[in-house]
Amino acid sequence: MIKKNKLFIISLLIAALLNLIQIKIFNIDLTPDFILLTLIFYFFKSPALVTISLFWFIGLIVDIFMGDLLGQYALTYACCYFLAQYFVSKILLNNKYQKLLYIFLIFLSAQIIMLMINVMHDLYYPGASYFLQSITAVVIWHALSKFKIFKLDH
Amino acid sequence: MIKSHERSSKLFNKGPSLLSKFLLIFFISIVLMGFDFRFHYLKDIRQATNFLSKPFHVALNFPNTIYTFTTQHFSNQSHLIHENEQLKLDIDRLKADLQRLEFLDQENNQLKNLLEVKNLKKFKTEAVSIIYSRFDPFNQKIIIDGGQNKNFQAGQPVIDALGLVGQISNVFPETSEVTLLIDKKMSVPIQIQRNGLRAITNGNGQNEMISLSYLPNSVDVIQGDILRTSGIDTIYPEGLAVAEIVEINNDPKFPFAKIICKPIASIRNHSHLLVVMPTGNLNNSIPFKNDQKK
Repeated sequence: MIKKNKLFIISLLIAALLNLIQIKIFNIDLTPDFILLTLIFYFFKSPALVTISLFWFIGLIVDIFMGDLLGQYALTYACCYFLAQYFVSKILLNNKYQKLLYIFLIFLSAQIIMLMINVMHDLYYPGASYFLQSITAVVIWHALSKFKIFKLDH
Repeated sequence: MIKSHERSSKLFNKGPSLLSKFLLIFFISIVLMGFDFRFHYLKDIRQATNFLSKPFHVALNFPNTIYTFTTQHFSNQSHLIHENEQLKLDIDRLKADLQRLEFLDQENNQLKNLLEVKNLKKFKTEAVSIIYSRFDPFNQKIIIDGGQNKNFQAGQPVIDALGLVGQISNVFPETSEVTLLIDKKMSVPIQIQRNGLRAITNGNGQNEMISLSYLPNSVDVIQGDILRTSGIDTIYPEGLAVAEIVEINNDPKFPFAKIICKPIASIRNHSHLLVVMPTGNLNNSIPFKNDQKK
């Protein structure tokens, strides 16, 4: 269990580092939220490890370093966990493409929640290209799932 | 796929249900955000915990450090000689320019004295390097090295060799946060170089452009006009290049002209910037209330 937690913390730290590197194509920011990506990976990999409060707590730490308001990432991550957990038993996730769609929808909902919080507190809309980040997240997920260490299936 | 046995074990969980946990967390988050919106305590928390982000800065700069170390170590003599010659040529050229500039400066000051106009103030700058830009599509901010240790204050302008880049919005012990010119909350008082018209720029936030607001449709601007800081607010020194007008849309349907400008400073392509050191106290003159107390 401790070893598992160590791996979890290290992967979160790497994700935090990756978050600081910008992926830009044609001046459009395509950087997905790597921390959320890692959390969702662990949500599938070891469901016993992650809980809604862990998602919320990690969101709170992210808020302290990068948020605009304390609680926006925390709320977003908690909502993501809730949506993911609520629908995971209700939706068929038989093949990997269904799963990719599922992950895409989780990311999209995260972005919509984040956008709603930002629109509410300072009336600012970053443009439709903002939603492309969900697509990059799915592409990165798909690319990484080719590697053995990121395999979820046994 | 999902391990069904692990999930099913949660089915008989004796703790509170997922929905009730979620509602509690939702409520706590909303309360936290509401209080932060009102009292801005996130800034203080960030000040206190900023030292924790230092390992990240070191790790991010590591490839750069390795690169500079190896290139310095292995750069051959002929390359250095060539570079040295080039630099000498540059210095000669710049010296010649400077002579002319000094003459013009003096002449300008004399003429201003004759007209009894206040002379242009010279300003000191401090070189800094960029550590990283913040991951947040809603804010255009970068982190530079140097903060309270270099006596930086919130509100100081940040420039590069070409023009204005932004303004320091938050100062930490060893780093500072710079809000870029293109951030949605950033406004700069400017003057059009050609005709001296004064206006205020606003960041767009989404594309790398800024706009001029509240100018009537009949305003005298043309494509290619250079905008410079007017120096009215006492924060930005007078005459810094800010942007160039690229698009004017004076549709009579709207009360104001829509003027899009492109920043002159290459905002994204730098590793080094200059921070303009203040001549007076900036405490009373921070123009945008981004992370400041409202």
